[in-house]
Amino acid sequence: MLRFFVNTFALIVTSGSLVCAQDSASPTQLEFFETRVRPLLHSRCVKCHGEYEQKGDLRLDSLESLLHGGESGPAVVTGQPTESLLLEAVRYESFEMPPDKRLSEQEITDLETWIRNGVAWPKLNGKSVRLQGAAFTKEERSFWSLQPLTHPDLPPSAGRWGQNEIDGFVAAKLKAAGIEPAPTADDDVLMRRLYFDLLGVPPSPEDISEFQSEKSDGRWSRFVDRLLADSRYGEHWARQWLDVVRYAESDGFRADFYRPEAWRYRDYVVNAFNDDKPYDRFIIEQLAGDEVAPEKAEALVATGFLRTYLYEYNQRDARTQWQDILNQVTDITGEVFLGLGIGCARCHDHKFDPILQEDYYRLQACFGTMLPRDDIPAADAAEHQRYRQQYETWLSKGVEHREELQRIKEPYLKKAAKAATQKFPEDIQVIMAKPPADRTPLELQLADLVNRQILYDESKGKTSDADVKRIAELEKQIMEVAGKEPAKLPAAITVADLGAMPQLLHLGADSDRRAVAAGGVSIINASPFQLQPSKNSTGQRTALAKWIASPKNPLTARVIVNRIWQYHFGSGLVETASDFGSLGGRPSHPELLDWLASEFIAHDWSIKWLHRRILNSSTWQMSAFHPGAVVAQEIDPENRLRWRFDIRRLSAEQIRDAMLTSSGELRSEQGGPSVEFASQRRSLYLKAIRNAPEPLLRSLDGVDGLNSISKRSTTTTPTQALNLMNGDWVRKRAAAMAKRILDEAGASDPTGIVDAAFRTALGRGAEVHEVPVAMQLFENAFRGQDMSAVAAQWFSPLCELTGNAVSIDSDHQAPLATTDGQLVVTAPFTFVGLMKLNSLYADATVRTIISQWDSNNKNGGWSIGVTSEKSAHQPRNFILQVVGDAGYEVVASDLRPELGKPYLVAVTVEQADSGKGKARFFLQPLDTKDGKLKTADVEFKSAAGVTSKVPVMLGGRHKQSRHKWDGKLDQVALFSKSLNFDTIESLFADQLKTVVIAQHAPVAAWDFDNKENPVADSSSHGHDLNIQATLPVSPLEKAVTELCHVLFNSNEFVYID
Amino acid sequence: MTTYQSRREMLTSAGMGFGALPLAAMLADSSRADVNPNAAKVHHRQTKAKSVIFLFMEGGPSHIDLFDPKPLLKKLSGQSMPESFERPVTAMGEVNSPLLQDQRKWAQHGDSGLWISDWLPRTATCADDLAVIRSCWSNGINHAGGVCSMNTGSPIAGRPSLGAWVNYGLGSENENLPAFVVMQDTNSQVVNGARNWGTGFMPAIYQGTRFNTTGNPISNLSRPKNEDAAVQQRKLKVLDYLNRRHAAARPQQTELEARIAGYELAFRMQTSAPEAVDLSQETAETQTLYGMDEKVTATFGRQCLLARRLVERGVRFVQLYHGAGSKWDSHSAIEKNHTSLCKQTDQCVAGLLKDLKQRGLLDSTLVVWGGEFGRTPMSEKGDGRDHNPTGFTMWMAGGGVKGGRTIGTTDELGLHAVEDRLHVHDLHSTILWLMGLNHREVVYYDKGRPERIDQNEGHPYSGIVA
Repeated sequence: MLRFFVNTFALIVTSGSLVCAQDSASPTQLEFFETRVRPLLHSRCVKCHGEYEQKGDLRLDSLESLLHGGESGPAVVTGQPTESLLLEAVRYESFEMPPDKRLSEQEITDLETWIRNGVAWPKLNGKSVRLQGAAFTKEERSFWSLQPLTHPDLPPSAGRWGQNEIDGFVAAKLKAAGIEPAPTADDDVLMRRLYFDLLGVPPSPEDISEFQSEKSDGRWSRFVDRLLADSRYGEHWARQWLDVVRYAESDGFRADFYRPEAWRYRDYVVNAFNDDKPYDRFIIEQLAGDEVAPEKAEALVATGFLRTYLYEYNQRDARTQWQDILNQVTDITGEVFLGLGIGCARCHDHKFDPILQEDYYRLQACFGTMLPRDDIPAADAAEHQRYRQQYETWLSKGVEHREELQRIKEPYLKKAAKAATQKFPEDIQVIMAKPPADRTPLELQLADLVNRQILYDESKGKTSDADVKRIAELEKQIMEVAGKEPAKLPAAITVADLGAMPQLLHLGADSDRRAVAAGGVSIINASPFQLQPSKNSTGQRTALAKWIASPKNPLTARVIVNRIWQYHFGSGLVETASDFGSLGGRPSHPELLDWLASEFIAHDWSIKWLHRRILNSSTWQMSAFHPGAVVAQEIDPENRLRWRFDIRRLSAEQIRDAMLTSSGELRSEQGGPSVEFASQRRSLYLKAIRNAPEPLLRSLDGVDGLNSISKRSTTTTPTQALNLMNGDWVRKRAAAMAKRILDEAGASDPTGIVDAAFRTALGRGAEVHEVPVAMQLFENAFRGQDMSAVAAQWFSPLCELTGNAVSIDSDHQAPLATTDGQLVVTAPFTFVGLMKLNSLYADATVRTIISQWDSNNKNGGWSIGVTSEKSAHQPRNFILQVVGDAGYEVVASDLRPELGKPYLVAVTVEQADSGKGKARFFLQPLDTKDGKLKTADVEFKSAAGVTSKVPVMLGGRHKQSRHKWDGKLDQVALFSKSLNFDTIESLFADQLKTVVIAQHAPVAAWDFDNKENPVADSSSHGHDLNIQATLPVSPLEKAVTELCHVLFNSNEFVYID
Repeated sequence: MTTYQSRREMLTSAGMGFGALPLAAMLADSSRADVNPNAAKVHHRQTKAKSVIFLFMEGGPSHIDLFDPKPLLKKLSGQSMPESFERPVTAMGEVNSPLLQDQRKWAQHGDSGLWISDWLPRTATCADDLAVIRSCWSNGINHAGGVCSMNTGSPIAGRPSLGAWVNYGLGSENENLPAFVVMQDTNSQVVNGARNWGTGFMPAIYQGTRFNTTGNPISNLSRPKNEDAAVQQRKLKVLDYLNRRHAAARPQQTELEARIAGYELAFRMQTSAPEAVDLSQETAETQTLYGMDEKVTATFGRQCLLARRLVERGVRFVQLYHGAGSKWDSHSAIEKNHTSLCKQTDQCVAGLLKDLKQRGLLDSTLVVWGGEFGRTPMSEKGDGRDHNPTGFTMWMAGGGVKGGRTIGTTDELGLHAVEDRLHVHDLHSTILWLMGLNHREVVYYDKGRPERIDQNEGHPYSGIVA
């Protein structure tokens, strides 16, 4: 895949001119080196004078080694071709190098030119590309992040400021710099900061006032403890961890299949934070839960960490695919736990950090015998055992039926397997032809990838009608003898080892190259892991996990402590949280980092301990405002010394959750399968689909689960502004918040309303100067449009002859619904009503008159309406849609009402003697005296089973924002029988006066003439329409909505001090 | 302080400079690079190409039926591929299926005598402008990996797209429009969806913006129907008041100013974006040139014309997907499939080249045509062809490219690229190079790695201009 073997040396550093000051080499000289010299050295010299062999103690793979030379002295002398041994050798003057074949004259001249011009060799950050191989320099060995953890003494007190050890370290540095720490922030600011920081949501105004009113000692730490015990804490902190492990719930390739069980890992992380699971245990479970606690569901689910990789369901290049999976797992492990970008070392020794290519494969070898598993229940051992017994009992009954079933299915499965296997290259087919017992571990892993595709194809295979029938019979018979199959246990997305024997991995994943055994990064730990295999498992991942989660590992505790610090403060003590290497940042407070890391370990790797330390420090409680900011800023412009708190933008999830909190809509249930964006649950629970990140969250820098993200970026784009200002979702939250404010604050006092809105959204009251500005939005609201006048717009006659009708506007007015499940209309039935339609949809969406259906072709129901422009039944077709036992059908009358005209309409639906369905449509214009009644009889496949429990809807469909009416409806009645032609005609002849309700006993009727309650059921069955959703919004409510919307858009809403 | 930090600092400060300027100043000169958050981040040499229009034929058009004639294929048609040809891993495993000859009439076109098949008669009239690269190769054998590679250089998701790198390196010339715009011929999802124009590990600010080709070009661009202009104005006024007071008290957080400016920009876009896509400003003659008068070419013609209007207005990178959702994929019945798709695009592409040329824009606009891979000489399902990433054709025109010639070759069956092989990384490096950027200098730091578009493996093919 990668072409690194072609030009290994032209890899990372080719030109450093952007990022460093080159000593003296010009770009031209570097170009010359890269194109003429480096390839030459690589192809003709380093085989014997490089990483693996150093003949004559000489290496020719770095400038340092060339200058240093070997047994015979320096190989090159800068600027002096005649003094350079290298040139002598290639000219066959002393040594005869290369011994196999002389270089060409051109090549020799190139070397000469290069030496004469000063041996240009690229550097980065003033740092030359490191020597290849394990000969670590002193400098490398003393690199800060690789040093053993220390437990520094606390600095001598730097004055009276400060509450705990953190402050001591911070104060010492500030004192040295001559900067005073900022004062403590105000109560309301601190509360808001604390809530967002620990729970990810804002405090309620009550939370704030409770804190403000409590004056006793220790109120702060009590609040901290209270919030740490709040299970919303885990939801917020899990999200940050999920960023780092690049959690997502889909495959991330073309098909991007959803992973319906992935959420279990998300919940595992939430619980781990809430339970304050020791971090070392957290590491071990994620890397090796299946090895250390296979009997526990939780530990199996934890290894979901190893399954977050991207996966392509139809990749036939199985070898590359498996290698890619291993690479992804190796890379993410290094980044997440060790804070090392080790991906560079996949192809060559890391150019800047002392990470060898061998180290990469030592780490990868830890995953070398791992097999992804989706068939292990996410259940504790006892539960699993119980299920197995039930299942085996069930399986033991109806044996002959099962055997026949097997006989029928077998050929299909074989065929699918054969067809799927044939799509793979021949070498893979050879593996598949072997009995599994004869396969090597790698072959088993490759076969697993093939088997996944076979399974997929099997699930898509077609079975003959006869066999489908027989299978159904057999399954029914099995059910009769054995009962229902015991409900399956949920499956964990997990891994297991292939056995106890480790599999060596080859360097560069190239089978011609050296094999390495499982181990860690050799500068920290040079010897391979001592393994403790079990019957089914090599113990390699456990060894890796324990090496990482060891108090002795210099990186692990520093990395997590720094991550936690970063989430609290906005930036880490080390600013590059996932890069503790030489290109990364250096700690601003190295002693503090070490003190926290060693104490963190001493406190049983407790993350909550760490939170308490940090939150109870004066450093965290500082104000964002500093009286001497101007001077301090000159000394420490980036606030690395922590002289004030940094103002931060909230994350995408915090912003969305804060809107739902302000609107009062946020739902509190926790855990479980993920939900659609429209849900009012916390953003953590939204489906995380790699190829389709939600635009609103994405515009606020939400993550897509493709890369490990240690720190979100904060970008400001027009898209963000447009989404927040014009997007429907945000506007709806503003409308809900306005309702809430008006309910709580009352409608009479504009100042009170403004104040309540500020308090709810921003956690503070409106200031005096803000009130009149906000009130500009209220200009029309109090100047009196009369509500009854507004209401009159919604209930007015459809034509001269009728009483009031209801207006349903496809943009603004929601359809009217009966209360859930109370009215069930099933064939036979009759609908009659009056209608006027104003417009069609531009596409094939239906203008619905009345329905009891959710638009899902798999769910029973019916709907009556008029087709739109692009309909397969042509526009303006008066139709019935049904889903009965014969599935979904469109029953088209081919009667075509015109737009803007009033009509009498009716439909009867019944089952004919043949068992088929029969619909009769009636359409009569109302505006002309001689308007002719048109009818149409249409048969359809089935009327049985046309039943639904969703509410009956006028002018729309259940839970659908589309398929709405646009116009008026009146005199609507439903009868639970098929009225005959004469009756309907008589109804119509009667010119609608009360629609003969008394005579024919409709099950529900709405005439919209009731002054008290225009949407009451005039049949007295109590099926009043739901008026809540349909009443026009009052001008005041609209104005308050606008204010709430402005507040949601404000900087103060999305930034915290 | 490390370079990582100072670099990031530089990025943020680019945003600040913009935010700090009053609206009036921005309106006065909307193209001032120094006030633009999308201003160039990397020094670049002066070259001809200022913009790119990337015509992405999604699904994989057949190079051996369009630009790379193979007489041997005719000769061996119906036989299995000779042993001498190395067997690649194919998507559908029909590596030994009979070779399928093309049904095309081939002719040489233009003064240059470029070979183009009868499927693209109009494109053929622009032969002298095309540099046909016959030796492209890539890694992804499936659509997901192929499309991802062609856009990001890697078959696996997670890296920034070419448009994002260009945007990062050069910035925009018109801050009232996005610097990187994507359009599709239908609403079918392009394989992999929006991450094809995403930014991977770079900030979202460099990502492509999908334009709808009818109605409102950007979603949520215009104010909701039930909010009238006066109300929105009032709201923006209140918002501005609150934001300015908030920002004034917090001078240390310059993002606050940038965000205020972001709202101003958004609402300027409400005018500039619809204007950019308003084709009523184009003459009937121009519309005809793009095939907009014919039903079959109207859709893609419209897109091509929009692309020209956008580059005219300083948009840096425009990517048009034709056949969104792998429509060029022709595992069976390639005759029917390609006949129809070529018809849908041929006139439009030729119209675009001619129009750019007559307006003097072709020199500053690099037009790139191709798919994620080509197709195999072996048949699939009798009358189709499988994916072929090991050798396929793309062409470039304009932007300083010397037209009327072919670059590189495939083997005698068109299966593997053999001479002057250009990997996707090389193509990307070449495109950056044509834009005046040294691909090695366009570096973004991520987790300790200096990242470049080509993963340090690409070489610009500078011969493309000479």
